[in-house]
Amino acid sequence: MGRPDDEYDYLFKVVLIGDSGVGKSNLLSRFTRNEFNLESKSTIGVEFATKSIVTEGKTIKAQIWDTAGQERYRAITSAYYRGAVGALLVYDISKHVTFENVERWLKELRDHAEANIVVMLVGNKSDLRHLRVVSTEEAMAFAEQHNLAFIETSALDASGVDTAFQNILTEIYRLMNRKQMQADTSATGPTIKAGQKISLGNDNNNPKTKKKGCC
Amino acid sequence: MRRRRTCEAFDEELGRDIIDLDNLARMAWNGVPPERRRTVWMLLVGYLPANASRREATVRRKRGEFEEALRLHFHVSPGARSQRDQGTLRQILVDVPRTCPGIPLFAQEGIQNLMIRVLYVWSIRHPASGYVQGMNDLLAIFIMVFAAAAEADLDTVDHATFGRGGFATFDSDLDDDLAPARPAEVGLPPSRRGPRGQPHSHVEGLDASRFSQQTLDEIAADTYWCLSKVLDSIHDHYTHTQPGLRRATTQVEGLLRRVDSDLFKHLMEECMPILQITFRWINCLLTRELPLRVIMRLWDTCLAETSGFEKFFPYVCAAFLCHFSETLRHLQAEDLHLFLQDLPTKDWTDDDVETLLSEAYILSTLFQDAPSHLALKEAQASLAAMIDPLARTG
Repeated sequence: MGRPDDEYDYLFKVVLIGDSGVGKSNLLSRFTRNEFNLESKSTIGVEFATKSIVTEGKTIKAQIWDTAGQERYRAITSAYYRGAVGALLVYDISKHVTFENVERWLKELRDHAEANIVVMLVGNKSDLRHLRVVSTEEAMAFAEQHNLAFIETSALDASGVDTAFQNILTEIYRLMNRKQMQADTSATGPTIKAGQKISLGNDNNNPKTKKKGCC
Repeated sequence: MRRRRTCEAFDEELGRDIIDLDNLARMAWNGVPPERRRTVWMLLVGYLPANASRREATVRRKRGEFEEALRLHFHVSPGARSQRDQGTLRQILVDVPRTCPGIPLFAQEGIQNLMIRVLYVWSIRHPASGYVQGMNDLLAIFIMVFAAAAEADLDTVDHATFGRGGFATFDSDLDDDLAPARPAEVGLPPSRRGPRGQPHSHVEGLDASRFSQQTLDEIAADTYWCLSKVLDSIHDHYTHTQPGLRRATTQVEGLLRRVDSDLFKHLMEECMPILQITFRWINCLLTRELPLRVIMRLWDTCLAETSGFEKFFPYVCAAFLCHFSETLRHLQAEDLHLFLQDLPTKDWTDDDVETLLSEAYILSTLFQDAPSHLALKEAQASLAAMIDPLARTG
């Protein structure tokens, strides 16, 4: 109790998804604990970690759910998409099939996640330059086409990792503020419905309180 | 607590022409000495027949069948694999190198190749579930036990001083004369000479590079069949939406509600679904929660129980959860998750596991009739529902 971690302005739930072995768990451990383990075990079901960042003067606590990549676990893992305001969709730049499967993961999100979830495409293992088979341009074009944020990272050498999380959390924060403002201005008008749809952390944004209760 | 049996006690049973499997299971329930574990597990899962005279032929045939399965399914040109099978192979290739990281045995190429084959053939032959992540952890347990025994075989032959029981390598390249302490065939009474009850303390430092290809092939076939027996008993843990795993979780939840309602209430208040807790426990049969050296002790009992991983295992999980009750009841949502993800079990010994198993046993004797009572109530309720509208219309 009383850790600095407990004080935050916003609590955002974010999921890490993507094929097995693309490095989701290591992205999480690099971001939350600055650790990397070349020989980490596969994730079974879901795992969880948190970290707070500061953006635009606000402390945002990220509650990150790391999911198992295998298809058999989708029934379990997709339950964790509920309430998520962000998703890092990870592929491995040295394995083309993991990039090809990104479309299937997008469909998973469409089927199970909130409609306004912020999605960032993450090309991990950028340190494997000599093994690269997915070019930055190809991925960037795909991201643009599907309206996704995009970044390349290496959980191994840490490049891009903090930026990826920082960017997606900031974007969620801005989007939320924008929607909140729209909701405020339209609160008296007839189009209130649009404003109410912001489930983006609606139950999570109690300022400076320790979050308790359902996640 | 019941006393662990010595090698001698096991040798007496293992030496019979026809082993009394019920008696063997009763003994194994309280723990199997590491030196006899391979033979006892092979008998308990039903890979080795109880009848000594049929044992050698059975194992020969089974090993031959696995070789044939490899030829049919594994040693084929890449183009001959369906897209689904390619996906399966890819998944296995991703997971095998991530099995038991830190234990040198699993970093060795011979062992990794063996695992890939076993898991792949199993998947092809069980399309309803196919390979599911975590099965590699289960296979690893069998590999640890069988590789330790294979290494002991080598030492027996090398030094001819280590008496040991149960199981000998078939078709060994080595001359039998070099191995006077080695039983001539599977399941014969082992030599009573040599050190007794020596634990395989080096089990995590096994060196597979000492094994011939033939030994590796034998380990592959033997672990394949034993893993198959275990997975067959819990197949719907791994089929689409994993109904068996959910059923086991419901059972754990029911048990928790009755034996530790404070913990149950606390978990509900913290919005911690029991499935979130038990998913990995049941999926990987606690291999991710406990150190390998004590997992084997846990498995002695689960293999000794009839359908142990299906029927007895939920009691083990309930007892395991209650074990941490005091701590869990003082943790809130996030800290609960973090604690459960990384339970403080790294110093657990066989004694801790045996306490856990005793608690699970008590739960099972108290509540094992509960499901049938529930089923009866459900039947009565549905009967009432059927009669009720009839009564009204009538």
